[in-house]
Formats: sequence, structure tokens, C-alpha cells
Amino acid sequence: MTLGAYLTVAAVLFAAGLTCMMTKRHALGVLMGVELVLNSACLNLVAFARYTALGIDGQIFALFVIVIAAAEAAVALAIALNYYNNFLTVDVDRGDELKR
Amino acid sequence: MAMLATGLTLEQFLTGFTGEFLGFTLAILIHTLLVFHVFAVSPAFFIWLERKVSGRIQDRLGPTRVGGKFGWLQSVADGIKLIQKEDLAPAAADKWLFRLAPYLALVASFTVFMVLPFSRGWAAVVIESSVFLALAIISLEVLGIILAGWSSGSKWALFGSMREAAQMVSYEIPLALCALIPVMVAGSLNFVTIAEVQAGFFLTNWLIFHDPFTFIAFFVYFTVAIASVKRAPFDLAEAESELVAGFHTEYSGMRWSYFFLAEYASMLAVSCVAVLLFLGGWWSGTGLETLLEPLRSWGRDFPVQGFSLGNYVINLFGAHVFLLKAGLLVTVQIWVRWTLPRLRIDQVMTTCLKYLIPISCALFLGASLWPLTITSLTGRPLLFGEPFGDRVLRAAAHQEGAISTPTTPLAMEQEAGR
Amino acid sequence: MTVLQFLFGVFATTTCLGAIMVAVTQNIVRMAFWLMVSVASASGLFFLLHADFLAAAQLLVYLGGTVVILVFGVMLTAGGRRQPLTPKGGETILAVSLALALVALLMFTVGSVDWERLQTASQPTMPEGGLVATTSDRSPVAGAGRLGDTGHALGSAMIGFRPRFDGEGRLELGTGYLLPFEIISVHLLVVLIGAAYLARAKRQIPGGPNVGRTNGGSPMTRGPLAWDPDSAQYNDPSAQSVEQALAGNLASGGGFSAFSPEEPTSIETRQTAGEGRPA
Repeated sequence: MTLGAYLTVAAVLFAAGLTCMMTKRHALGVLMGVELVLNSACLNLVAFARYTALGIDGQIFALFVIVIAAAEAAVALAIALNYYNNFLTVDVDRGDELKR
Repeated sequence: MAMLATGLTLEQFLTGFTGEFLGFTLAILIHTLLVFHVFAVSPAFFIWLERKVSGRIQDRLGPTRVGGKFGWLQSVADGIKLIQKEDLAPAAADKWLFRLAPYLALVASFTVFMVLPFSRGWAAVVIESSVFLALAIISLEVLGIILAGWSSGSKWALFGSMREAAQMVSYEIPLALCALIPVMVAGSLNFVTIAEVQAGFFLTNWLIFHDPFTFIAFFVYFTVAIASVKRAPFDLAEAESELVAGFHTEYSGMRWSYFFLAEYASMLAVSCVAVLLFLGGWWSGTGLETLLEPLRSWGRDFPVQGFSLGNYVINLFGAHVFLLKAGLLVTVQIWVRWTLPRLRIDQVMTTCLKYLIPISCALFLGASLWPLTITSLTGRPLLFGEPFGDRVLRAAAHQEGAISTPTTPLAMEQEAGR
Repeated sequence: MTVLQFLFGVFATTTCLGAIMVAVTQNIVRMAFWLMVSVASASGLFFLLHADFLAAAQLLVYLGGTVVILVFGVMLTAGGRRQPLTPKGGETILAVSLALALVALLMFTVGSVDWERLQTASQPTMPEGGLVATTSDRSPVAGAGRLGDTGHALGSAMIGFRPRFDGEGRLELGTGYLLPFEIISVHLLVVLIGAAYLARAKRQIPGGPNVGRTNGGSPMTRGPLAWDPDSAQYNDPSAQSVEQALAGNLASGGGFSAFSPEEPTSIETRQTAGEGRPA
């Protein structure tokens, strides 16, 4: 397999995650979009680690990305719970207190 | 994949006859079939065993009629009954997920057996991070259960699956920490290496007797393993007395039985991991294998090129020893279930977060400091037994002999490209 | 077609399919399921890339941890009034066209670079008979001889020991990643404490759905499924008035605004309920 094939898969993942982040109104749906985007970044890093001189460094960065993604999910979940406590919904479009 | 005597993997062997793609597919099919037998037959046996053991513990006889004196066909009869039952889905259920969830749980508990070596070289997949991968896959069964509980549209099922989610996410931590202790002692994440290190006499060479910390770690691991396969006294996800049947309240027929298959297979899987990490893997612990070592080259190239009958027989013996040990651990799990009362959910969480995690952290620290302490006190890294470095070297020698050739099709492709 | 290409095809298809279905599906739990499919297939791709340790980490952390936490969060926030959370039409069109443009751009970029040349140019010449170095990690760390065995190399790089071969096949010592490793461990601790603090923050709406939480229950009994909404945890008398205020707000089209000073009912409700509520 070539590097390009993996990069293409990562591009599709990234675009799907981006669409998800832009269109979803459920707070956790947005979070899933973020996860997809991070996953595509991971895939890119590992693919470059395999096919270029990046070596083990790419995998280490991918490992850091995975850890950061887990941490981010925990914090985002706490925020979503707080949001739900305040607004009785997880619809992110309703969090527009400052706009009014 | 499964190793023949001269270091050929099955797929390499088949590739020689049929070409790469077909050989690989055939190897996959054969391995899947073999592993599926362990996966499907052992739950049938353990369900029968559970009935018998629980009967004896409660001063009953258990099943006695189906299939003769001991009722050993009871599981088959149960299976036939379950196949005949109607496959119901409640009106409030998310039907699509509801039908899908049992398969998720089933696939997760089946996949663990993929990385478990049953004897020297008898593993479907040999990779270096196999302990890590096995722990990762064991933790995936919870996904099917959460989805089952959520999609049932029943509050009992939802409570059950929420408990399961909270419980599993917490118990993964001590499970991984306790599994890390033998990994650290053996210096490898590979099941094969960890098991090879434990060859020889059990009291000196099994990792459970390596130092006091690994000894305690085994019992902590076993407790956590019981919790992570949601068996009593930690079966809060199904708690019959409070939640009807917990996450599988709404299931019937075959889909219900898939959850049970998954549960019993997971019991066997965590027991197999315990045996590999602590209890000597496929070594009988008597030193019998060292006596039989010359036999390994006996009958070389007998039925086909690259196959050794003696080696096969000894490996077969090892696989039986391995499954026997794992079966004994499953029996202990059954015994525990019918002896101890169920905890409350807050007690379950307290046990994990306030006791098991600090204990396993302390054990991990102790096990990492033990070799330093014992060396500075006595001048040698072990109190008794063969020096650990020798064992690691010997294991590495076996490994090199067996897996010097690349073991995956990818690696083969690379080899061919060089 | 080789085995490798076949496996890549399978995993790439399921990864992309899962990701697209996450974006398309509206039901949040089904989205979580498709996320599982995508993430698990991506870990299959990691295996194909000889990153075994990373693939297992992906399974353990992403699938066993993050997705479980997400589904858990869905259950915890499934209460309240059930509004359809469908995206607005204009937003959807904009987002999809943006995403398609991005994919086209990325594809173009991928297609315009000669990756093969980069690949061959970057292959360092390995010393003959020296320490084993694989194409996957190029690290002469002990035990890293087999393909896909990146555990040792990753571990030693994490503790600050990162030997590697440079372009001429000479051994050089890298600095490793000890400091980032330490930082990320502290980071995880901070996240742990922070998330626990955030999730335990005191509630603003008395009688809100987290009344049940302090009582040991949970708000999920008011879930989106067709259950009796007033069944389990809503015995608090203040809950009813908040419900009414909320319903009034929603009916008047103003959305939920319990905090706006123009809403005397909700403030009053808040105060009275705050008094009536057991601490």
C-alpha cells in the first residue's frame, strides 16, 4: 500500500468529523466529530511514521494524540453535564445567553 | 500464526501449495474454526459445570437426566430450547441496535482468544503487544452490553447497563495495573515470552511465586477479573433481585443466549490470561517437559514436510495443561458466585476506587523495587530458583527458533520485497 | 490483489463508512455505534501500518474508554424535554459543501506529491549485520527486531532514550520524550481532578433533572424513550413548577431562559425551590 491511500482515508475521516462538528446540535455529537478529526490526525501520523523517515516519532505523537483525546473527552463530558444541568438540554444552539 | 516444527507458520505452509491469497484465507478459516471451538464448546461445558457446582453448593444434585447420569447434555438441551424460542424486540426498543448489541458482546469476547497462546506456538496471532491487546479487547465487551441496555427501552435494562459502564471503566484500571506486574517482571508484553519464562518447577519459576508482590497481585487480579466479567459478587449489571435481569431483561431466545456465551467465554478468557501471566502458562510445573524435550525432534517431517509429531504431541499436552488450569480458575469463579452475596453498587465502586486501585498501585511499586532490594540485601536478584536472566534468554532462544520467520502476511510481503 | 491490499480495502472502507455514518446519523447512540466501527477499523489500519502497540492503545483508550464515556454521557443527559435535534437545512448544505471542498483539496494535495520518491529517498541504508532495525521504527532498541514490535521502541523513547539510524546508517542518540511524557502524566492528573470538579459543580436550577443524582438516582428515567416521564425521581414538589415555567418559556418561543431577569416566575421558582430542597 502507498502512503497516499492512507492519507486519503484520513482526509475522508477528517471531512466527516468536520461535517459532524458543524451540523450536530447535540453536544456529545459535536464531541464525536472532534474524536473523528483527532483520529484522522493519528492515522496521518502513523502513516507518515511507517512510510517516511519520521520513524518512531510519528507513533509517539499519535500516542500523545490518543491520550489528549481521552482527556479532552473527559473534560468535554463534564462540560456537557454542566451544560445539561444549566439548560436542561444538550442542544448547543440553546447556549446563547450571551447573545441576548 | 500456529507454528509448525520448523518455524513455518500455517499460512506460510499453505501459501506454498495454494498461492498467497488463498493460503492466507485458508489459514484464517482454520484458525477461526479452531478458536471458535474453544470459544463455543467451553461455555457449554461451563454452563453445565455451573449447574452442577451450584447444585452441590446448595445441597442439590443439579441436572441428572439429560444425557445420562451426570446430565452432561444439559447445555445442548438448553441450546435447542433457546433456538426454538421467539426472538422478541420490545415496542419501545431501538430495534436496530437492539438486534445488533448481542453480536457486539459476542465478537468482543471471541476476539480475545485470537491473541491467547494455547501452547508453544499455538496462537492464532503472535504479536509483541499481545498482553496489552488482550486487555484492550477484554474491555470492549462492555460496549455491546451498554448498547443492549440502552436500546432495550426499559429502565431496568438502562440501569443495568449504566452500572456496567461505570463498573467496567473503573475496574479496567486495577486490571491493567495487576497485569502489568508480571509484564514488568518478565520484561515483555508478549504472552509467549511471559509463558516461556515460567518453564520448569512451579514453586521457583511461576511468576505468582516470584516475589510477595506478584503473589498478592494474582489474587487482586483474580478479584478484578471476576468484576470485569460481571460475575457475582460483582454482577450488578444483572442483579436479579433489584433489576429483574439487568441489561438483558428484554432479550429472549438466541440473542439472550449470546450474552451468556459471551459471559462464559470471557470468564475463560480472563482465566487464561491469569494462567499465562501468573500460573505458568502451558507448563505443567513439574519439570516433565524438560525431560521430554528430546522428544520434540522425534518424528520430524513425518506426515508432511515441516511438521514434527513429537513436538505436536508435547504441544498438545501443553494445551491440555493450559486449558485445565484455566478451567480450574473458572470453577473457582463459579464457586465464588454461589458462595458470596452480591455487593451493593456503591460498595462495588468503593471496593475498586478506594481499595483495589491503591492496592494495585502499591503492588506495582513494590514489584518494581523488589529486585533492587533483594539484590542489595542478598547479593543475588532471586531468593531461590534459576536466575531470571537465564530464563529470559532461554525463552528468547525458543522464540527466535520459532518465530524467526515473519508471522504476518505483511511481514511476508516485506520479506519478499527485500 | 495481495492480502495486504485486500485488508487495507476492508479496513479503509469500514473506517470511512463509519465516519460518514457518524456525520449522517441523527440518533446519538447510533452515532456512538458508528464511531465504534470507525475507530475499531482505524485500529485495524494501525495494525497494517506495523503500529501494534498503538493499535492496542487505540482499542483500549478510544473504544474501551472514550466511546464508553460518551455513551455514558448520552445516558446521563438523555432526560429533559425531547426536542428533535435535527440540523438546520442551510447549515447542513454549507457544512457538506465545505467538507466536500476540503476532501477535494486534500485529495488534490495527496495526488500532487510523489510519495513514492519521498519513501525511497528516506530509506536509510542499514548497517549490515548490526543492530536490527525495521522499517516500522528504525530503532536499534533491544527486542525491536520484529515487524510491528514498537512497544520497546516507544517505551524507551518515552523514558528519554531514542537511538536511531541517520541517513548514512550511523547510530545517533535522540533526546527522547521524557519531558512530554511527564507533562502529559501531570496533564492527565489535572484533567482527572478538573473533570471531577466540573461534573460535581453545584447546580443552578433547583428541582432540575439532577435532583435525582443527589438522591442516588439519575435523570435518565426521563429519557427519550417512551417511558413514564414522571415515574422515578420527580417527587420533589418544586420540580413541577420548574417544569411549568420551562413549558411556558418553550411555548412562548423564547427558549429556555431561567436566568434572565425578565422572567420573574423562574426566579421565584428558583428561590422557593431552593428553600424547600433538602441540602
